[in-house]
Amino acid sequence: MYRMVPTSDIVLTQLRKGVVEYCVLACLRSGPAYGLELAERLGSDSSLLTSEGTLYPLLSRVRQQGWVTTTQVPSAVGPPRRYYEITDEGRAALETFLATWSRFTTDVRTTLES
Amino acid sequence: MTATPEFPPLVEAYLADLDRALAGTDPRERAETVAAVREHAVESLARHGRDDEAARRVIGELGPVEHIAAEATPAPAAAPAKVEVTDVVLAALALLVWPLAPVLLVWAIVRLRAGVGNRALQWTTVVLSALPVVVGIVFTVLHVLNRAA
Repeated sequence: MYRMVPTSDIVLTQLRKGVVEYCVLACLRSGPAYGLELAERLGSDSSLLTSEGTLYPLLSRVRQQGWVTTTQVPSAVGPPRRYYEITDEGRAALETFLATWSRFTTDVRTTLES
Repeated sequence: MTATPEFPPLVEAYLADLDRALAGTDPRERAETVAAVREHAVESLARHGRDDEAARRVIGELGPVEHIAAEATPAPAAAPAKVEVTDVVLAALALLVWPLAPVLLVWAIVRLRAGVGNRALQWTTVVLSALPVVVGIVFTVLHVLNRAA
């Protein structure tokens, strides 16, 4: 059996799954944003994204799930910007996640610190 | 609609790499990701300038294309090729009843070209029935040559 001590990158990759999409939804609560703006709201140095580009497959998925919609808005600097906006379904999904997450993190902290 | 401004070659190459890296992922996600990353690059270049240094910076922030591809959903697996009774019977006949070889050969080729049934079995039939046909033709030619001599 192949065994190894996971690197922090491997741990992060696993922790991001099922969490980062809700962080994206949370960033859209304050209003619609285009890609680069959203990447900035998430924080360029944050551990949430491996790199800015990894945001886009995720955005495509949450759009297909109906949690965000996209609208093309004319831009002064070039082609139209694709604005992402959270839907009612997205807000409901985020609410459910928040309630669950709060309980989950409390339990994790209690266990890790015991 | 405004046309996409011309990109520095480094960024164009990066986008082409990204598209290739996304081969084998969900087609809609692939198309949307490439389009959105292109827009991201437009915005970023508008801020940082359009020289090579700016291009490298934008590419650096977007990150390696492999990392982006790793986040994408794999394309749904293609349905396994169906095995149709016709293809099995053709292959079996080609193996057992070789006088029927010319008929089987044509039939298998027709099915191959039509793109129906199981290609592996059809190729098996083609090979199995081509053999007696070719051998038959060779013997016939030799026979005719011998008679002529």
